[in-house]
Amino acid sequence: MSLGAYLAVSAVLFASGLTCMMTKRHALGVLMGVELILNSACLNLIAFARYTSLGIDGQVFALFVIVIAAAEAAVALAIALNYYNNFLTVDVDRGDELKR
Amino acid sequence: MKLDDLFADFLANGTGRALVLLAPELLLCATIIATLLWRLLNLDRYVPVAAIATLGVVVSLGWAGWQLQASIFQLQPAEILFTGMIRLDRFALFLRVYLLLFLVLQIVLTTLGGIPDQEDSPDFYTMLCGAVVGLLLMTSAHHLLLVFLALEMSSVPGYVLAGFLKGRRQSSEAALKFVIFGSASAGLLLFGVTLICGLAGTGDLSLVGSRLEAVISIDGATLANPALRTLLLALVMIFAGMAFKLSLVPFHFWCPDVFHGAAAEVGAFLSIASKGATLALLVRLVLGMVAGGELEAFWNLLAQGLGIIAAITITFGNLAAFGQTNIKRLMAYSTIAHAGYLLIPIAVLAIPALAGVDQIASTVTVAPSTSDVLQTQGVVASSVAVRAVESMLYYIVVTLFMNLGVFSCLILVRNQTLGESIDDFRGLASQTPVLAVAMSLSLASLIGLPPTGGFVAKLMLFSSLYDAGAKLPLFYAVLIVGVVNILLSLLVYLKLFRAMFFDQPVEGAPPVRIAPFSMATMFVVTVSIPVLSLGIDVSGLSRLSRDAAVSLWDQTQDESGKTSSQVSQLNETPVAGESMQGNSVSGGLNNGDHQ
Repeated sequence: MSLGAYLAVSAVLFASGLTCMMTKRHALGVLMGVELILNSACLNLIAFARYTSLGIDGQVFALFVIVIAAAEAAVALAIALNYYNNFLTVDVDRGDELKR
Repeated sequence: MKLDDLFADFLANGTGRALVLLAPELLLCATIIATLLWRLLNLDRYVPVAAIATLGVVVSLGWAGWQLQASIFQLQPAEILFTGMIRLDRFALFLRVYLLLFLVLQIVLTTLGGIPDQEDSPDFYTMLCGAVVGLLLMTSAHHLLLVFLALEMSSVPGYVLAGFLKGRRQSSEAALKFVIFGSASAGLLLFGVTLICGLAGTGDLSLVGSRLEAVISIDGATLANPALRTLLLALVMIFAGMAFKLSLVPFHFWCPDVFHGAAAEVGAFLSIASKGATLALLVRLVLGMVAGGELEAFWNLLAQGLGIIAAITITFGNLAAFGQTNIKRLMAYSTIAHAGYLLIPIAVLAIPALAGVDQIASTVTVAPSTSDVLQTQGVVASSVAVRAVESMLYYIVVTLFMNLGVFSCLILVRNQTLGESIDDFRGLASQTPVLAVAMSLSLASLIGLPPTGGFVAKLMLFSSLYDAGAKLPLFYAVLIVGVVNILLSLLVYLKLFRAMFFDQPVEGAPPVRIAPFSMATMFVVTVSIPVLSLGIDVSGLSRLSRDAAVSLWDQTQDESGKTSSQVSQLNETPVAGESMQGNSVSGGLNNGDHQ
């Protein structure tokens, strides 16, 4: 396995995450897309840690990214829940009170 | 490297001393814990949580201020702490004082405005202090890991703050938009950062630039080179993430909605502290990654791109602000316009010839903490970069006072009239002259009219821009756009002046009555005085910010040998295929052999 194979997988992950983010109208769907992007970055880091002089820095970086992603997901879900309490939906397009 | 070695290395690096140097951040963390425990132990019935938060932050501010003055008077060199994660120089110390000063004023403002009530205030101050810890780390980040970590540390509490008014539909909508766009842009930024890490084979910002140059110059800096394409992609992604935080034009759409939906207090945080620290981080990133040699033309192009984005952002912000009737929305567009102005110094720094990349290699010695940065070669060149950073620091300090002035007036008026539109300000001059005068002073500074700090800040910015135009003529065009926009912004804020001084109050509207010697009046006056004094006495803050700017180019204590030798080595071997890092990195990238 070469570095290119890992990067290809991560690029596919990234592209699907980006597509998911762009097309989904459901707030949780968008957040799933974000998770995919963060994980593709993690994969990148691990691959670079193995194949370039990045070394252990990359693995430590990946660990931090996992923690941050968890924290961000927790906050995002709480906000989505609060949005549901106010709007009775989690459709992003339905929030249009601020557009004038 | 084995784990044992790593641990021993960590301890040998003087972790204890590093912790003392990082005391302001740690004190903020202690404040967070104290505010949370305070309610748990039911002590908030006797002493309000705001008092505890203020106490903690004031102690932290005092410590930071003492560190800054010690650093200036004893000419302490820049230090690298925590195995290369943090660079503590006067630039970081200066911004630390700035951010903590903002935090103190902000906490006082929230007690006057009453947005977090007794029940919610621990949560509010926890989030606020937590976000500021992230911002403090942003200003001293020296490693790409910390860049991402600190950005997220400051963003995530920001999302919560935007949605703090839980029952309000507008607030929850603002928070949802903020969190979705924010996490998406953070994801993009992270992906770009990982690509840079992989290309350079390191995350250390003092090495990234020269390593990138070494990797790219193997196959030449043309678009046929896959490494250069990767670099371009990574830089665009990183810029997207930073532009979101700064609300620059293609990524600004969240800003008006979030400012409108969230409480005005949160708007003040986003438009002052968050912007200032993001700019500081951008300065560090650009200085870390900019490289001369083969990449010089590439970076010149990027610098021009940044200049164009700045011009577009300024114009868009002012044009869009024109039709707004809600003051929070108006301030959002004003923030966008000012973010455009503040991007200009970053664009100047991205010019390799000005950022001192080649000069450091040729002269090696950068005289620390004197006004003449480089004695021998390129005196004019590098002092432009220093002046750009200096003007940026001056600008954000002025922004602190003028934006806080507007937001505090807005909050006080809101609490009386329950509205936040321009109509609520009609006839303010006849009801409470103090507020009207303070507000108009801040507005004059936002426009950039002469006796205020905003004028001086813009003047300094334009003068460094003019000098940069000698290198890249496109910057003259940016300069013209910037000057024309002062006229545009005059038209924007004229409406508010007219409403306050010439219009009669709306019939049946509750009058704005604020006692002349109350805390609220004193706060507004305290915030307004610097807006004026910074426009009259320039030398004090200007010297301070120049000192801070110069320290960005200081060689560090323990890594000076490494850094300078690295750059000079690359300079001697322009092909760089022979240099060691070039080989190992490119070998890793192309052949995939394990190091």
